[in-house]
Parts: sequence; C-alpha cells; structure tokens
Amino acid sequence: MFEARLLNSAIFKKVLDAIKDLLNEGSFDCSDSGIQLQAMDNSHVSLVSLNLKSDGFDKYRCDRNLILGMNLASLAKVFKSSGEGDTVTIKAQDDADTVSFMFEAKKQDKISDYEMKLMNLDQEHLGIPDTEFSCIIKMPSAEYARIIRDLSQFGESIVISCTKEGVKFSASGDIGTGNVKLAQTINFDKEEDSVVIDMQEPVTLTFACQYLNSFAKATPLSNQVTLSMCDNVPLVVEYEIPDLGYLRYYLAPKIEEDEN
Amino acid sequence: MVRATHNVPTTPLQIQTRRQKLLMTGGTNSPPTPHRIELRHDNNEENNCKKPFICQPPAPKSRKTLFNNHAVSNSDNQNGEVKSLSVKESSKNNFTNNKVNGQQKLTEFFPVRRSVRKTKTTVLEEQQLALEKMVRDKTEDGLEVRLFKDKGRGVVAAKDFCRGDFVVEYSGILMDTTEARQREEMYAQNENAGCYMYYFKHNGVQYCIDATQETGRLGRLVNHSRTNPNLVTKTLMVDKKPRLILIAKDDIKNGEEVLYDYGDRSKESLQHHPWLAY
Repeated sequence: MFEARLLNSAIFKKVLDAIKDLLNEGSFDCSDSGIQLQAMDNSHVSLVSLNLKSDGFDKYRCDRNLILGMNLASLAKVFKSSGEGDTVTIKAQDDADTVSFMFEAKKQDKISDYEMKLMNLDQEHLGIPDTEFSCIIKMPSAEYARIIRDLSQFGESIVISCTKEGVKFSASGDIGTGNVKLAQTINFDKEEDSVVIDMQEPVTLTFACQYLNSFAKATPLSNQVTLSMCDNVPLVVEYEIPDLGYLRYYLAPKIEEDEN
Repeated sequence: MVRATHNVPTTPLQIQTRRQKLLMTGGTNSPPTPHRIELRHDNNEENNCKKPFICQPPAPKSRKTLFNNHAVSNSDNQNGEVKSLSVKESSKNNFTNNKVNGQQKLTEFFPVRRSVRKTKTTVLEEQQLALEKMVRDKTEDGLEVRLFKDKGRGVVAAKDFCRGDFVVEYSGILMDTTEARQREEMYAQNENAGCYMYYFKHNGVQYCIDATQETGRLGRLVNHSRTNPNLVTKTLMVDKKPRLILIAKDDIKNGEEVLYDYGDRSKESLQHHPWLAY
C-alpha cells in the first residue's frame, strides 16, 4: 500500500509542468524514503532527476517499494482539474495497475477522485557519479529564465563561461551576438536576488538552448536556481523544492564546432 | 646406505609402508619425508559444494571508472542509435563518435545502470575465466623465492595481495592415487626428494599432483603453516583437468611470506616433521 498526501497540490502541478516538456512518461520510484524519478529525454541529451522526500509530505506511507509508471501528459490532465490550494492524496495498492488521486478543496466541501492506469515502462537508469564541480553558480531562477530566453533568439547554443569576475552567458548566430554578464551580488535583504559564485577553476561550456529553455519551466518551483559546471561533465541545473526535495536537470555539453 | 627393497607388499596406507621402511633403514636422522600434503576436508568441501569464491565484491564502482573512460560507456550504451551521423574527428577530445552539431549524449558521461550491472552468474563466470586464464598463463606475479635459514626456501609476496586474490598455482604432474603411491615409494628411497605430493579430491575423485620435479614454478616452494596460513587451496577445472590454486585467505602485505596448511595431521608425519603442527 502506498499513500502520499500533499497539502498543496500546486507543487506537484509545478513539478509536472517542469518536466513534461522533456519527458512523455516517467516512472516514479516510491520507497519509504520518498518518491524519485529519473528519466532521460528521447534524445538522451538531458536527464531529469526528481527527489521528493517522504518527510515533506503531510502523510506518507509506503509498505513496499513500487514503481508507478505514468504518462505525464495524462497526469498533467489529472492535476489540471485540481483547484488552487487543493490537498492531494496519491494512493496505489502494492500490485495494482492503477493509481488514484483524491483532491480535497480547501474551502468547499468537495472531493474529486481520479483513477489513472499505470504503464509498465522499461526505462534506462543512469548511474550518476558524485562530481567535484569547478563552478557552482546560484542565481535567481527568474533571471536564469530571462537570460536563456533572450539569448535563445541569437543562436542554437549558449556558451556559459564562469571566471572569477563572474558568469557570462553568450550566444551568436546569423543576426549577431548576445552577451550577458553577471557578477556576484549578495543581497542580504532579499536573499533570493543574490548571485553567488563558488569557483575553484574557470570553466567554459556550450549547451543547447532548447534544453536550457525547458529547464526554465521549473522557475515557479523555486526563487533560486543552482548551476553546477565542470569541464567535460554535464551541467547540473537544480531547483530546490522548499521542504520537499529537489528537481535536477542534467545536460550534456556540446563540443564547439571550431575547436579543432 | 642400504635401501629397503620392493618386496614389501604395498599396504593401502602409504604412510605405514613408509614407516616400515624407515624403521628398517633406521635412518631417523634424515628421514625421507613421510608427510604428504592433503587438501583438508573442510577446504575440500567448501571447494566442491559452496559457490565459487569471490575475488572482489561485484563492483558498482564502474561508474567511477567510466567517468574517465567515456569510450567504454559509448560502446555500451549507444546501442540502437544511428552511428552514421557526422563523425567528428577532434584530435584533443575523446569523443569521436556520433554527434549532431557537436551535441554529446548524456550516456557518454553516465553509464546506463542496466547494461553495466551484471547478474551474479556473469560476475562469477568472469571471475572463473580470469582464474583459468591466470592458471594457463602460469601467472606468478608479485612473488619471490627467499632462503630461510631454518626452513629452506620459501615464497614471499613482492606486492600486496587482497583477500581472495589468486596467488600461485601448485603446479605439477596430475595423477591418480595408484600412480601417486608408486611414485611415493620411489621417492621414499631418495632422501633428498622431499615431499611434494599433494593429494586432493575433486568432485569425489581422488587425485594427486606431484611437484617433486624442480620446475622453477613457485607453488611447490610455498611453506606450511597450520596456525597462521594466509593462503587456501582451491581446485579449479582448466581444460577438463583439475588444477590446484592457492588463493589469498586474507590481505597479504608486500614482504610477508605466503603460507598454507599442508593438511597432514597424521601422527606419523607429525613425529618426523614436528613443524607440521604449527
């Protein structure tokens, strides 16, 4: 028996919005420590890693580890029907082929029940090693979304280069070039506006805009986003989900065309 | 020195025949060695019944090594993907396989767990094959012969061995017990021959490996320790013939002498070779 109750169903809705661009379906691995999902997009260029701790739920029970394979578009439909501030309870029997969602409205005496068929997904799991990153950039998530959106107009890829002066995002294409530089700014009054750069070694990596843009769909989850970079290692873009866990994206770098 | 003749009928127990001969020749000062090496029963059973030993825990480490070796994960993981897309030759980079616009795939960095993870049986099979290879190649790496003043030659580790590592083969001529007995009688007449007859049982059949002949192989020179051995003997089928291999029982440090239990517990042998007790 699996049962997880989340006071604010909107968080789950935001998570779905943040991943359904990259993934068509996902296997939610449920254990007593929480719910996890790891999946690559179809092109195997990026990976989504979601971790929701059991402590973060209002009520959590998982007797046996189980995998809930779901079509994310269908799941989004279910959550779309939930109202703002609804409480959601996710339930599944141990060997069931369906999962049920119950939404309880905060103000009204209204309970909606949805049952969805589970899928048997045969997904590849990647072993992600621990990496000592050369640069870790923490910045406002809205700022990240903005920069990526703006630079995407100039080219297909964005070069992120981090030095001790700060972090520079640049793109170039047929119409010209664009550069955005951010220096470290620590704002004590509004911590979420701070840009914090932890640099061991300067790094310059190139990434495809398309994916960086998809990651920005997670902006509503968190005020801040963390970019971790290391030479020849995939970029990690992490959104912390307050009190519940995190949503991480991994993105393989591009090899610059003119390198040799 | 007067030798016993062959007209003494061979009794089923080899040691007794020897003992008789010893008494007859009266040569107690330097007895032709009447002890033999026996694969102890406990070893033997373990060997025959239990699962093959594990050299190293099946390693989930692969992810770490893969990290520095993208090439491996490439070939492993990219099954089913089109390989014909613009292959880029970049001199400095390791990534020479398919890329669209230089875009690399995540699977080049992170190993797919399913393909890396092996079933227990494949892990064991691989270990078995590795052992067979070492036996065939006559591997004797990281060992050296040293002369000890009290017990003659012995073998010392020249590198660190981990518990479960293959150390050396006890190589010699494989024979059945009948021939072994004949040979043992023959050797008994030569006091310099020493004892290198290793009796063991494999799948219920008794065999003996005779390493009396000086061959330059190291297995025959490994000394005995009953109380503090750091090797155990295992039988291994190589090309349908049983072979004896000595495996590290514990971690062995560089410079330590390698020792195993000869297994001979008979009173007879102990009398003549009191060191067998230790």
